[in-house]
Amino acid sequence: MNDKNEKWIKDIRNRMEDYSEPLPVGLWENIENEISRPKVIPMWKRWQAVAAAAVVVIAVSTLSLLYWSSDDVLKDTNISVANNELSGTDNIELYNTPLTASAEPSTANISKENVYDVMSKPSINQDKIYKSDDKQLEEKDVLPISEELQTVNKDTENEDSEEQTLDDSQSSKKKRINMMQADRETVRRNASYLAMSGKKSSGNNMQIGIVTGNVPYSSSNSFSGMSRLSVSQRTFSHVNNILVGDVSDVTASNSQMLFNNLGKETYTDVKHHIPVTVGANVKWNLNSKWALETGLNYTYLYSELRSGAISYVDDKQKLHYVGIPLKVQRSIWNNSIFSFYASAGGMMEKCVSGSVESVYSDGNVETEKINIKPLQFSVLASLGIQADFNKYLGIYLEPGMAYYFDDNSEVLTIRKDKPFNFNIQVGLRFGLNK
Amino acid sequence: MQYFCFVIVLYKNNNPDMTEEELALKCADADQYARKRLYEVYGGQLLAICLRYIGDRVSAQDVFHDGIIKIFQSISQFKFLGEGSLKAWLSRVMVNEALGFLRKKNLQMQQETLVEQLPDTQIDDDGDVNDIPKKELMRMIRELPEGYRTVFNLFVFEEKSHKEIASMLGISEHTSSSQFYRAKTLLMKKINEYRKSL
Repeated sequence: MNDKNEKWIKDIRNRMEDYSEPLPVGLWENIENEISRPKVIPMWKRWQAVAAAAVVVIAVSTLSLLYWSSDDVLKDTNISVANNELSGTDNIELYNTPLTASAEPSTANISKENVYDVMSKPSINQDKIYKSDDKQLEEKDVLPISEELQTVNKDTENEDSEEQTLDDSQSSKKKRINMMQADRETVRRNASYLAMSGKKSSGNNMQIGIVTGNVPYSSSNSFSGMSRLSVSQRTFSHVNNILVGDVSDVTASNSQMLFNNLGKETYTDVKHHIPVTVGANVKWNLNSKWALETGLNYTYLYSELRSGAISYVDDKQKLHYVGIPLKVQRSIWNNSIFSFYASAGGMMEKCVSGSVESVYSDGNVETEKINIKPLQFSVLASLGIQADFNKYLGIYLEPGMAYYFDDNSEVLTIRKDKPFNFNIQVGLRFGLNK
Repeated sequence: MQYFCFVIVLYKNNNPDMTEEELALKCADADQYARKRLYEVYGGQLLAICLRYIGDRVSAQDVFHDGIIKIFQSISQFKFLGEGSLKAWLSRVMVNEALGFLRKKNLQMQQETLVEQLPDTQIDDDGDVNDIPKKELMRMIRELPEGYRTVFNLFVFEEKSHKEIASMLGISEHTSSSQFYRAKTLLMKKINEYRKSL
């Protein structure tokens, strides 16, 4: 009984000890993230940080440079619209001060609202003034102000008999001065906004930009059996070569590897690293809503493969693509700083250079050029948000999705592994002024 | 104007056949490739251990996840003592993780009373388990009531004595052996049922 018992326990143990459960998908990625975060920052993250820092530095320096220079433009040049407006503002101020000053003694008990009414009038008229000629404003536009002021004053005299405010005339004077200052500020701000928007509509129908885009993830998978990243005719031609008798080192290691793995359960592990895209682009604003964007992109794809069982081969594949995107943009909403837009289009990419380096487990290394003839086409759609620092410079962020068509080549890339994916593009746009 | 930033990922290693010892050392060295390899080679078995102890798949995966992280954190403490010692060590870490989980859970729920339906008939036929598919056997073990299952696992797979189990779980030696007996009887019943259903 006891022996039987022992045997039964042993049987169960032996049977179940090596039992293995299929590993859940994606769990490794989680674990990998968690364990690698505090200890080592992977190289690409460091690079990204450097790139991001560079972008920020460039953005800030350009920004400050442009602010300095644009200030000079405002002060120095006579043709600048902003300058006209500033002088216009000065005129208004000159007129304002004596007007209110004369109004003061006669209506000592003017209430706040009335003062505000009066004071806000010039800033409303301001809009008209900016559009009209500078000289006309002195004669025509200021005149109604003084008229209005007088009528308002009359009104207040009538109405305020009941709501006499017991304000100290000193403090109300102070308030008025404050308000005048605030108003002048508003006027100035309005003027500069107007200057900006005026510029935008006239000169900014073309923008150039630099961009970097990433599919924010890599891809890896494993399967059983042997495979290679770019199966050229190599394997087969080498077999023929052997028959002919021309045996190179690499051929030997290749067949040696295949031989070693004979009858073994082989497996293949492919890792496609995160593609990196950088580029420059040009955007035409067709009208206020629609814009067309094209440019030139460079993309770098890097993949690693390990295949075999006892003997391995490690492939490292590097591909360089140059692509031309063409996108249509539709503005959704914008204000003076932010703009949202949707964009859709396609991209045509050509592999300009590529290589694969194979390291066999016996130490032989083989490097081979890859030539991908067919073009890689893709379609993409994205939503963008752009923040304009000033009229010359904006930064934008474009999350989107892309679908890469199969180029029917023999080369295994992340585009084949994950044809549909999400990506994010970050870039700067420079406004071109005529 | 263009900005080029290349992704440079260096995988140093790449000696094709890593021995257990090498694998452990590289993992201790935070080598990503070695870590992944370790996960791929042993992960399935370790997950099976979790499942065997915990029964419920979702919790088992959580425990597995925590256990793997614990393994990578403490793998520098692993001492290589010959072929198979890595697996033994990994299993031990995972078992401890699972036991810790069960302990916490039991504290919350108060030890469930074990008035399970016991088979009234003695089953003398120590059925041969070797023809039962592993997957089915796993299911049966998972379906055991938790208290039985823990004792059963420790006794059968960790080869602990009832005395050791008793001190580990804070129960009496007698409870441990009687729980094991019940677990065994219940499992045999399940095996017989399975045979009949074929």
